[in-house]
Amino acid sequence: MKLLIIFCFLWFAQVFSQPAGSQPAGFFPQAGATENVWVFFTDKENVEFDPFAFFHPKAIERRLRHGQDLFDEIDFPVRADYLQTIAGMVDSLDVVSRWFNAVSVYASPLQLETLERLDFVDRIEYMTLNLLPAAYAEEEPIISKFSTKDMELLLAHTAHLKGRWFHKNGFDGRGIRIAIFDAGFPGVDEHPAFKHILNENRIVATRDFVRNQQGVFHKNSHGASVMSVIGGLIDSVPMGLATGAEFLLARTETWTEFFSEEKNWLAAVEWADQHGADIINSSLGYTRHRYFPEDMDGNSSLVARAAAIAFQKGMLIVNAAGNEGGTESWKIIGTPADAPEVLSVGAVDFPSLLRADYSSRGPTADGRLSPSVSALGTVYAAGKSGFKRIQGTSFASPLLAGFAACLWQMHPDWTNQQVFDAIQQSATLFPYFDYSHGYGIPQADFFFRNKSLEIQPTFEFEITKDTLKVLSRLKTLNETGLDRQDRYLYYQVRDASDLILEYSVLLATETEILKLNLSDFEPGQKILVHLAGYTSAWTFLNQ
Amino acid sequence: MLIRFFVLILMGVLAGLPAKAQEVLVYEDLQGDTLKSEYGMNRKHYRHPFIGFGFFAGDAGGPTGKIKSTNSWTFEYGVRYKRKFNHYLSAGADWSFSRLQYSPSAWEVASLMGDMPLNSEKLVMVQTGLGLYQRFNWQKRRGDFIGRFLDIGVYGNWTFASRHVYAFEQPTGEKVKVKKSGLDYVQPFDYGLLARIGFGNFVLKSSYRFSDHFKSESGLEEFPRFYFGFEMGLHPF
Repeated sequence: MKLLIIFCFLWFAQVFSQPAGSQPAGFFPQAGATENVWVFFTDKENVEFDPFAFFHPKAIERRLRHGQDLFDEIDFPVRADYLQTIAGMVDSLDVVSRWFNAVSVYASPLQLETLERLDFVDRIEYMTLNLLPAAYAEEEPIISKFSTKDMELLLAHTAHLKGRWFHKNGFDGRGIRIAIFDAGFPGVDEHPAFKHILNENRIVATRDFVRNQQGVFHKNSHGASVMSVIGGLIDSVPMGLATGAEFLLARTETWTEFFSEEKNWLAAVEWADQHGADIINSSLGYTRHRYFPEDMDGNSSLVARAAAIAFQKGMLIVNAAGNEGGTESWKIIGTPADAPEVLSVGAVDFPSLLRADYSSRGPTADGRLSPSVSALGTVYAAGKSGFKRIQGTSFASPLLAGFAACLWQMHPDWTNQQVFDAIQQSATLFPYFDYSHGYGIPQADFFFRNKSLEIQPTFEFEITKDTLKVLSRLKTLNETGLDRQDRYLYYQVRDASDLILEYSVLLATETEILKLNLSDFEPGQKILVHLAGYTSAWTFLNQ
Repeated sequence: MLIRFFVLILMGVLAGLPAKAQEVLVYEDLQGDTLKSEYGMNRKHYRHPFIGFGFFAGDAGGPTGKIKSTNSWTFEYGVRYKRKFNHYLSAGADWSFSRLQYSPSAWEVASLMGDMPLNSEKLVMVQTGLGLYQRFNWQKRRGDFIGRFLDIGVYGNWTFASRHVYAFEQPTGEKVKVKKSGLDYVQPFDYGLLARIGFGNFVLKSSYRFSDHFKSESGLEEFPRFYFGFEMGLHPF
């Protein structure tokens, strides 16, 4: 009984006296179990490196195109003597990262204490093995016959991006190398959707970073579905835009819906660089199992930092925004989609082409725009053997990766930054954006049509005594000649420092689309409106 | 008169409609999004419901305290609150309702039946109670999820309903079920120690009851004091 009273006393004293985080992080004694940690080294002195022997010629070419030094120390291998030394001090070595000059190891707390004392060990970072990729998909049973609805959806994969402009001008991503990081690619080596790729040996390299082996045609079919909407073909109907691209396939995830290995993502990005990847499609994201929303600042996670280096090396990273939009406790994009160098892709529904409920929103934790752009999140994709209707930002991302491949083929002299910017500029809402759709859906016709044609105003502001009205100039709002999407009125309210306070999309059906009371706004606040390609702003002044 | 009344009603309804009825397709208000939340699975405060099920084990207080272990169990449901202090240390409280069922294997009632076979016998207690616990987490990198943990704590329960039920068959073949509620030999309160080890939603629980179930004057021997069970935290994975 005394024991119970003492416990209760201590419990009350603790709960009602301590603020969270008031004790040092190391308060609890270290567990004796083996840890999986990153060990970072101090230097790469006296390391020999021959970029021509190490890199694929395409990687060399990409570096030169982006003005990169071929002898950048970041690419140098980790010192073999360092690895050899610590190999004898830990249970086992795991992934080696050139870019971070680090190795992940399995070691006991005691071994780690010894490691930390080594002169050439800069620091140790802990990791967890079980992480949650934000990419998520609700699968429906594989169907063997195309219904009209499935066919409509299949055609929409490329049509909503106006992809025929690429195809009719001969751009199908040929010569562009796309690396796909995913959970497995079963059936890709025999599925009819990939026959054209296999016939031309355009799967140039594969690597399973989970099993540390070459073969990837096994496990979760998520990767096969993703690949199909980049470059698959069904009876000559393109499932994605880059039907002519080359592929590097990396299995980085153990189970796409629940568990994964962030360190595999890191290893795969270096592998993709070595093998000359131009574009990386990553339909994966890491969220609450390792991070907090406030960590989504593009700098807190190792994968976001790795994505930044990959971008610096000239690769374009296209990443799914994530499927946490409906999760109130998270809601925003995961990492590495939070990195400013990553083209993050949100999902829109079919046929509304408005944000899908599950699609993760922006902004990033440091207030930047995300997702960058949007694409269809519901697709008709390849499964292990047949085809299936499937959804998630996982599939919006590869549609955009295919788009980027065609654009880069069209402008082979462009840098990744130019491709990144051009994709955003081609999108339906640009220069308007919001945190659900980004700049909207990229449109291929933007790169072919006469850009000198000025966009005609589609609405005007009208101020009366105490109201601000947005009046449509479109005469066909209620007529069938206008696409439903052209009747979407996007508007947002920003504060004086340009921070978005709220945003909305309305379906405009009448001339007077929006009516706002001036008294609801403070001086300096601004309203931005977008309708059918035209964007304008109104700033509220002192009344 | 009637027409005028309907016209007025119609005008009133129309006046109540928005001037321009536009369909809102998307709306996001970001004004609260910049605040860092203090509520979450690995934040300062968190609470979640849970359910649990388990069995009693260990030595009884005597030969008549023995129970049929597979037919003696507890089901509980409740709400758990957690207050985080740092990455490794939290404390919290549970408020739960539970139903305890003991199936005594050698109570006197069995011998009273004589030749009449006793089909079943159980003692049911319905309780509500409070548990206080200290939680230790040991995962070094953990985002906003429960993770793996060890809880050590105490509990106290109030038995607000009790019932003794037994069924037997008379020599005529008639089946008889006897129920007796509000048992005056059952202690109204019990308390003990608890320990839990958790892996996200899945929790293994054990407890030890210090107090007696039965008043000393009843002469009844105590049932086993250990409890081993499984709990499910009803929160996101």
